[in-house]
Amino acid sequence: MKKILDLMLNPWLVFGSLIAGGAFGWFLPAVAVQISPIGDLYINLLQMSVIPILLTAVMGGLTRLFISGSASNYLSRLLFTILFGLMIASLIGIFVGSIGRPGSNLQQSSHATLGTTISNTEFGSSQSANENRELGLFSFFNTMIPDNIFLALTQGNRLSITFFSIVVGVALGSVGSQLATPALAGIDAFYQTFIKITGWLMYGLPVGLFCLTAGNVSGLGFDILGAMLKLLLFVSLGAILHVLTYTIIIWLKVGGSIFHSFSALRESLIVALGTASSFATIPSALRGLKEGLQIDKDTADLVLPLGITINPPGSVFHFAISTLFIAQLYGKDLSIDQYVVIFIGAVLAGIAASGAPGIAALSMIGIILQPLGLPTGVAIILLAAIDPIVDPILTVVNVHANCATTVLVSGDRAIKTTSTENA
Amino acid sequence: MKINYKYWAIAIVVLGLLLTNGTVGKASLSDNEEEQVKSNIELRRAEEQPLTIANADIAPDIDRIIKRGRLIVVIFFEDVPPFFMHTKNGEFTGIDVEIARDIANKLGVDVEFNRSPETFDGIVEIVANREADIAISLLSDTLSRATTVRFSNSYVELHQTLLINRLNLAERFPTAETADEINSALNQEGIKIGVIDGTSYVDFVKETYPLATYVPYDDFSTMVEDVTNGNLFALLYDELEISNWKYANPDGGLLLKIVVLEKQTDTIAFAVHRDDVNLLAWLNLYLVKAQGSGFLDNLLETYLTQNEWRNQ
Repeated sequence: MKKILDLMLNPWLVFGSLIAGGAFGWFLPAVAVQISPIGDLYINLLQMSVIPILLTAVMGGLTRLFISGSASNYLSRLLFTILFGLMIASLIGIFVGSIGRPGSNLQQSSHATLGTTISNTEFGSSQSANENRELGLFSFFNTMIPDNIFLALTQGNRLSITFFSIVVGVALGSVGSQLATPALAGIDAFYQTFIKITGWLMYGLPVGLFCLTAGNVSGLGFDILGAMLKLLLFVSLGAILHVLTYTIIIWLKVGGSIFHSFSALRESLIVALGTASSFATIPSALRGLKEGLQIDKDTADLVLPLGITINPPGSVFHFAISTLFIAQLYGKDLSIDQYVVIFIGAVLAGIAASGAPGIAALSMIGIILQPLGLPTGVAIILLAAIDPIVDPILTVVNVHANCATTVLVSGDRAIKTTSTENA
Repeated sequence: MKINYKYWAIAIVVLGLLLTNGTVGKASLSDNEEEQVKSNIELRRAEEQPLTIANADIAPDIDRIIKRGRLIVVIFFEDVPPFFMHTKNGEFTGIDVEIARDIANKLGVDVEFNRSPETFDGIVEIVANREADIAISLLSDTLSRATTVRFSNSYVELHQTLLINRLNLAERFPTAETADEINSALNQEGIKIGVIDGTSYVDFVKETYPLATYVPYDDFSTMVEDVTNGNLFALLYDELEISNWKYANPDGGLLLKIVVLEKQTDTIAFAVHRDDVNLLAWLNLYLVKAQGSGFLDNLLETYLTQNEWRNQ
């Protein structure tokens, strides 16, 4: 029994099930649709504990930080790292988009596929498109501050929950350690409990990922993927570039072999790719950071969940490269100040998108496209069409970026632990 | 229980009255007349020959058609699928063509198509000058046309549809998303909207976008080209022509945005000469029956909702 359980945790088996699920969905789409509900069931199980983990991790982490008195120094470093990372992601998006030119020289048949996709989507929903899409940073703050925390909890509004947890954590850290310590013990106990639950769920990962990817692949529209192949290719290329950069950053900070820096977090990368949910990846990423890389527990518990909520370099990169794709598609030459608009706009759109669910997140590309005079509606339709492929890739980038951020922000203690171990 | 008796009493009285009335009515017909009615009914059932009511004059405007043995239907000179068009085998077909044939069949005459008019207002002139009995030709029943001819009830409702240059729209009105927002954005000075000359859309544009400039065109493809290259901001036409264009130019959706204006309907009806009141009454009754039998719904479903006819 123990052997079977260990086998289920074997990363090669997990990775193999991801590939096998994809192949299954490709060749037997009819059967894949039948088994995809099992995948949905699994992802629900994974997400079941995400909000309690987010709540307890951020509250506990901040309280501890404030009790120890090192908060201000630490938080400014975190904010600086996040902002710097997002700007780098935006630059990589602009760079890959300008060099690769994913929207130029498309075949006539690709134009036809794109045109048909757009007109059919618009034609079918000419009246239902009346939904109110608010853009910009104000709507971001609007969704961030809950008027009723219990409503936010039941609706799973992660941005509001994070904001509330930060406020409670700061407050609890400020009431004095005599009061805070017992509360902290309680919070920690619950936190460990939920982490334990998701730890058990990892035994089901091979089966869950198989069903999930089989279902996802079977639902893909191949015409539109073919027409946007160049964009998909360069998004993947950029994602690999990101993951490499983050791995090198982690390696430089942690030391040891570069292969170890990567393989310690491989499980979280596979979960991210398979579930396309960065929140569902939090537990396995935490395990990788704490057990694999010996990152200081307090830092990891605070920074990673916080980063996953407000720090999406993958989305920033995606918005930057997609804007260039749309500009190239419409043959629009961009001036230097328009590149600056893309650079800043992508960062803002990425942050705004972190608070919005699903397709509403994609619509934040309007923050960049509207000042450039490019059609936002077209961009949303086209990006939504390839989202089932792009979303898992961006999730990998977002998760890995926040692992790197956690490593960077973590104190020197992490390095000492690792080096003693290596010695 | 008293109430129950009361109702029963009323019911019996009513029934009795009905029965006596029936007998009285029957008795008032002489034996000869009774036979005549019977034989007429049998005749209709046996031969399915329409419109033969013996001993009664046929209305002159309908009699004219029956005596001639041909119903002359005027249709626009160019094909406008799916209302009137030719299949690959050269067969003339479409919604209007099939309705025309059905009407002729019900009148017991042949059908002849007059395809001379080169504008839609020209169709109205042909009917007004009595060169045709009826126009069944994707004709909008506008108020100005109704001053010269009579329109039937409308048999299909189309929507006015805009085709807009996406880049111009995104540059000038980046936040206009819904049909209503776009509609109000277009009503501004300096916005050029294309429209086919001699169609009801000239009036529609003047009505809906009084501040915009309208530019008349003779043919649709030149107009679309001008929207594509930005000379026009948008064009207004019916949803059919635009959905035909969409099928012929799948890549067009990238540069041009289709906006179906659900609130702005374009009702299509038959037109007859203003003196042909009996023919018009007959046509309205025909439409009610064609709707009831499902003939009309089937026709519209085949040609407007499904797209198989495009392969024929």
